[in-house]
Amino acid sequence: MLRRAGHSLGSRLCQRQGQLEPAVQGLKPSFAVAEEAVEGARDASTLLVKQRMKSVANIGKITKAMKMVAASKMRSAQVNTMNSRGIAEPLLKLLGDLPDAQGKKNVYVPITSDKGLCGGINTTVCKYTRASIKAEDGEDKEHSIVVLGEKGRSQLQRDLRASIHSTVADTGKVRVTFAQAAAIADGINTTEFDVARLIFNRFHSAISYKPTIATSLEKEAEAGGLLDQYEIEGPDRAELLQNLSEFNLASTLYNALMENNCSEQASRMAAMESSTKNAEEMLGKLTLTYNRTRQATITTELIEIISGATALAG
Amino acid sequence: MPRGGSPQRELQHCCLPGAECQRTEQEGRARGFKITGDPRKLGFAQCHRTPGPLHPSALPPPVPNSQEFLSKFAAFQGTMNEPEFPSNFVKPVEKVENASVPDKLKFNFYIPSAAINQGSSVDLVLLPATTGDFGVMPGHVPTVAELRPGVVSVHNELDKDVTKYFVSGGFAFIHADSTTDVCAVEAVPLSDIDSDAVRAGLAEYTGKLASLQGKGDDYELAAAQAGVEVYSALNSALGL
Repeated sequence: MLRRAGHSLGSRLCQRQGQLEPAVQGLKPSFAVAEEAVEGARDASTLLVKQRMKSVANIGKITKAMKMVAASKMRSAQVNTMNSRGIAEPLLKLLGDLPDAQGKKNVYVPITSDKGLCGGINTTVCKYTRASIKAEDGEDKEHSIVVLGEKGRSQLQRDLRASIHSTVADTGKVRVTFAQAAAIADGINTTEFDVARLIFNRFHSAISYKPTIATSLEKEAEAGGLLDQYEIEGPDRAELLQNLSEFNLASTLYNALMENNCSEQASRMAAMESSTKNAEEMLGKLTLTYNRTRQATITTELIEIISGATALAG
Repeated sequence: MPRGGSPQRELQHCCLPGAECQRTEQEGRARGFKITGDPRKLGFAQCHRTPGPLHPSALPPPVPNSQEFLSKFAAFQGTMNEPEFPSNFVKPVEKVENASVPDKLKFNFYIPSAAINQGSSVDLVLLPATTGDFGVMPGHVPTVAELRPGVVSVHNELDKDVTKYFVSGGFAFIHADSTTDVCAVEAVPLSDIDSDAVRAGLAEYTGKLASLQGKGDDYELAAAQAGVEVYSALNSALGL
């Protein structure tokens, strides 16, 4: 395009000159060759900037699309998350929240995402997991980790590979369901834990997600004397309490999965928003550079043509 | 205990006026129940405990016993904020001392995907527990009950405005201040159930169970039994 513009400019000028000075017309062929040679050298820098502009514009489009997808997913996830809080609350009120609980076998369940580009939420969960493990470490205490999500696995396996019991991936691929949460809770039960700690991001708003630690105990009866005030139906009290604690784990896990999913979408939306803004900023700067370079080459060309013409005329 | 029978036959607990209470007076007194009223006339009286000064009529708010954990965590905290705990976000219930038995039951009905009832005032709720059906009215004893596949009837107004749901299982908690929480894994209104599908399912699972008798591994047998249990409950719920 530049070449063509230069050509047409040069040829127009030449033609005008030619009307006044027939002698100039003879110069056209050699002039054109010289012009092309000089243009080829000039194009290199503008071409590079052009390519970079194209790629940055593409990145901006992609991140904008990802932001819109995340925003729409977050809206529906938010409704589901608020609904999922209902089932976990009565159990929390009845059995209590006991982060101080001590046990021999501790299992930690960090809940992370499978896909990246979602801001810092996965790193946060992993940091809190590491800190909790170190905090609760002690003599004759065993720690194991059941990681939910690929991102958590790749981060934790660097230093805690030996403690990782199992990993669960693709939890939110289609939809998070209670059946899934129950199946994962079954898997966690195979570690035969005394205390289970779920670490996830609780959704507060589109810009606020707080890392939360939910504790679930194997022996719920020993936890808090509240249960003593209640009459427990049925001949098999122990079995009912066992079922209750398993149900508690499954419900808390379901709620945690929904909250983390919602936080992930919100975080991705924010991250893609800032990416798009950065891309636009970068594109603006590159456009200025490009235009400056382009205008400079045109100016140089004009000067050459005019000085050449004046030299011939004079 | 026969399962899948109609709710009336299985009524073991009496919290319907006029029905006979299965609990003996001695049993009631041993558990600390105050017997109010004539047990022969008001069958549910024995199941009801009059809240006295010793009985907190509201559930105490969950206290996050987290001081120790937080102090241990502080050593490794660095630049992170303190972690939150789920109980930080639960609204504390106001403690009401010496409250009388309220008129209506405060009923919460939760499934994982929704809150079917939240804080609704109802007269009576019939629940299908593993130990048998029982009804909950204001003033019921604090109870924790495991639910079997069956029908939960919510009487917004006694016998006038009734909604029935089929639940697949879960737990029910009745608190001292007459708040009832029911957490079910799945609940559908009875009107939404297709009777043809129920008949077909029951036939299928009964056939499966029959063919697996004696052979087949434990898991398949248990799955077939669970299927038969649920479908028979559905069957009786629909009155087929």
